[in-house]
Amino acid sequence: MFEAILLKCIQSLRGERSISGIFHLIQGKRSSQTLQDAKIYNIDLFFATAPSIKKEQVEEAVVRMAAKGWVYINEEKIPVIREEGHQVLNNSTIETRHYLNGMTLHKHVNVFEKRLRLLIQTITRTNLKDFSFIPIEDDIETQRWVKYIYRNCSAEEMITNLHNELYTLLLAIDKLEAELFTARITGGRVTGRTKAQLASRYDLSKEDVDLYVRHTFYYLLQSTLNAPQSYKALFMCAEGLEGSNLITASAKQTHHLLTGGYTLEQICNRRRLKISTIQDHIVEAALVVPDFDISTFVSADHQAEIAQALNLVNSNKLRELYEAMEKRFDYFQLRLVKARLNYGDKEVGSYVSRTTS
Amino acid sequence: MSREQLHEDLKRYFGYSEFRQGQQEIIEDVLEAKDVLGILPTGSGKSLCFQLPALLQSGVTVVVSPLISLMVDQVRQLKVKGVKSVTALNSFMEVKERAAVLNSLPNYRLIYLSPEILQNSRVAAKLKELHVNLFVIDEAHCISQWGHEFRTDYLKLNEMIKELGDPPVLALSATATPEVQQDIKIQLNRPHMVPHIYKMDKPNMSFEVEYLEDPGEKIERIKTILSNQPAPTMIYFSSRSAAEKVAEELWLTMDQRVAFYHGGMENIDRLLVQQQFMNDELDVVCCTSAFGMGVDKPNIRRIIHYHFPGQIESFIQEIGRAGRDGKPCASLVLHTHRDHYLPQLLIEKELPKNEDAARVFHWFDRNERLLSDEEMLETLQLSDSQWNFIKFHLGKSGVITRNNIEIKENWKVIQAELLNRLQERWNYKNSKYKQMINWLFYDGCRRKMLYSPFQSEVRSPQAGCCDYCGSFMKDLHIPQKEVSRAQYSSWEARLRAIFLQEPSDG
Repeated sequence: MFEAILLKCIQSLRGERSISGIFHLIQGKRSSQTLQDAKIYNIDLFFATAPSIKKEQVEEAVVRMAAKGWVYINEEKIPVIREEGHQVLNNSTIETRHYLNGMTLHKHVNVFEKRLRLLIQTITRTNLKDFSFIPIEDDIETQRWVKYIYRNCSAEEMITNLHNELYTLLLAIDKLEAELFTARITGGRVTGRTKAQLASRYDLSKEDVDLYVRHTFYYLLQSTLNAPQSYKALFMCAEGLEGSNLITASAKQTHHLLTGGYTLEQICNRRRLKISTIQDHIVEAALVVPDFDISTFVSADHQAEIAQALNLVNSNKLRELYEAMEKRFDYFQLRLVKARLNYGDKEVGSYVSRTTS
Repeated sequence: MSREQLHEDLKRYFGYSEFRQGQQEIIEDVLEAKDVLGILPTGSGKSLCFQLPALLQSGVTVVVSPLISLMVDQVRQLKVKGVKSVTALNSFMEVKERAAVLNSLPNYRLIYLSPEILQNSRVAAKLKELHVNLFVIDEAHCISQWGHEFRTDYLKLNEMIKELGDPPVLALSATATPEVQQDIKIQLNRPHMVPHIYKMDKPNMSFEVEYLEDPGEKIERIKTILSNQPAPTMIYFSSRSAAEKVAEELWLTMDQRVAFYHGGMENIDRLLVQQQFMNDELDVVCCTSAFGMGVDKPNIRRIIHYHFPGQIESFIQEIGRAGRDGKPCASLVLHTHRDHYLPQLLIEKELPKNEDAARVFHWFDRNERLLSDEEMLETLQLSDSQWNFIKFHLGKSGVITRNNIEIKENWKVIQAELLNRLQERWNYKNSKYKQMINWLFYDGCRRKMLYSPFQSEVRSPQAGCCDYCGSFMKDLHIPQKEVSRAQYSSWEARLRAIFLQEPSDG
């Protein structure tokens, strides 16, 4: 699964982004560059799907895949997919059917996972009359949440319901994933296995163990959200996790000031941040806020002009667009328009077709 | 307070009906506001000596502890026992979290601190507003240059205690030679501390050392020993990769449950290995010295050293994890000629070399102020402990105060002095290392020799003594016990077990 995700990224990035770019994406770096890449190249589903990955692991995997002939490294040291790679990718679940949805859900899955792990441990240990177990999750928020649920719900009922709901859902997926998932959970008299133990036992890479288990959590969360009535106990763990638009809190604050009528300079002064940082926030907002208006920064005419040029250049490299437009617009303006176009592409039909027709 | 009352409190707060050796005597003196020096062997429940008084006295108990993992562990275990008014402050906390704790400081009875964070002026100011009733120094050997783990920040504790209104002091250590004990009193300026010194030898443990020609033989020896009979075993390594490699090899070739543990693993996986081991779901843990803190497992039977540590003190601490239930246990050290350089390399990483010092002075020539510690490490290419060593000694000789470089002349003299200190420390570390090596090659009773720096005689062994006296790890008697070796035939079965959906004990 790890290699398939990398292949998918390499394919989508079309040799325009380095290994670092891929690493930042799957690791979930919240920089404007990474967020924009994710959207523009259409790989936002894989954003933050491997949060504990290290750069060396990505580099080693790329070398391995190059040795297998799936990719090659071009003269700019950027990986490019080969025909064999396409085939491998086409046969993988990443192309056929998967539940990863990092950009939208990674934070929610994270909370959901922690709650579920600790809830299972708590209700089953206390059922065995053990009130002094060491909690599997250190996170204070999660502990508070579990304590609240524990005080207000019947543990007996929750144990049966959670078991039945998980059983039903796990029955519908790959046996390997069901096995890895149950082996990783701690509850009753059973302690969860570590990543390394599962990797040895199933002859998988540690990255794959991690991804399969995380994928299962994505699957559980989405199935639950789609049918709350059928999975009441699981739905409790998803409580309060509605979608949030802006990713970083800092960008949110900038956006707030912007809608309050502050100018770019005023925001800079007020927040004591560099102008480039504020610009990053605005691009971030343009990517995700539905009715975000960028005409204060680029007029409607200019937007159309840039969109047209973008079509002709047919590359996602900003520099080429910048040159093609004879440097009449700055990078910030170009990025804004691109961000907006991309939003349009995905959610409300193409901005390009509307303006050029 | 009467003895009966003290026992009742012990039962009420911690659920124990008896004190372990030394605890009661120390607690009684602490409650009478005496300064106390407690030397208790590893695993004897040192922390109870301040935890119980903290709950019984009014005011706040401050505990200085050098290891963050240790602090976090103790806080976690106290919370599990229902003691909620406890917290730990360290420099790795997130700013928000730390601010929250700082603002609610008066609500706590027991506050764990790292020595570094005590130097933070905001933290110090907040502490001064409290009524500190007891000042505890855990791992007090860190205060002495002759302790095996000298920590420069420990020397500043002295002043801090004064600023907090001179509360009674309790200094605790598991490994302090008589000279270190003396030094602790001097450095703290408390010559009349009441000493409570307990013997650290383990009568239920036997010792064996084996020299092997070929490093490859180590694994074979370990396999032979383990195949005798499964029993909770720890194998110590000095490197993470070696621990992983050997764990994998044992796992593949033996019918035993093996895992590795080291500081480079994710938190949750570390916790899982600890719990598996505690619950007897594992037979063997291949680990670095990061494992063990807070692992109070009573029935560890074997401690094998695949690599030996650089000093006797660490060794005693590591073997101290075995046989806490009082039943027989055994230690085995395997070594080859290659291992004899390893500790030396570790010492090198820890202490600056002459050329490192020269680089620092060169930099001082061109700058007026120090950068942050992190930037200094980066700029001067030094390790944490190397920079600490230099900074401490230059601070002591007045070259730097706070972050200013004060003196720019007489470099030669100062430099020579620093190099002298460095040489002293080198010699000291090397002598510690030689002591360890000498023990490995000692031709006599290992038990007597091992404890000779700490106490004049050892108690007579309850089971085997040592290889010299004719006892070997393979002869260790392991009580036959039905170990639950639950195997789940399918994920469905495991899921049922997790959710207790089986008829009990299925």
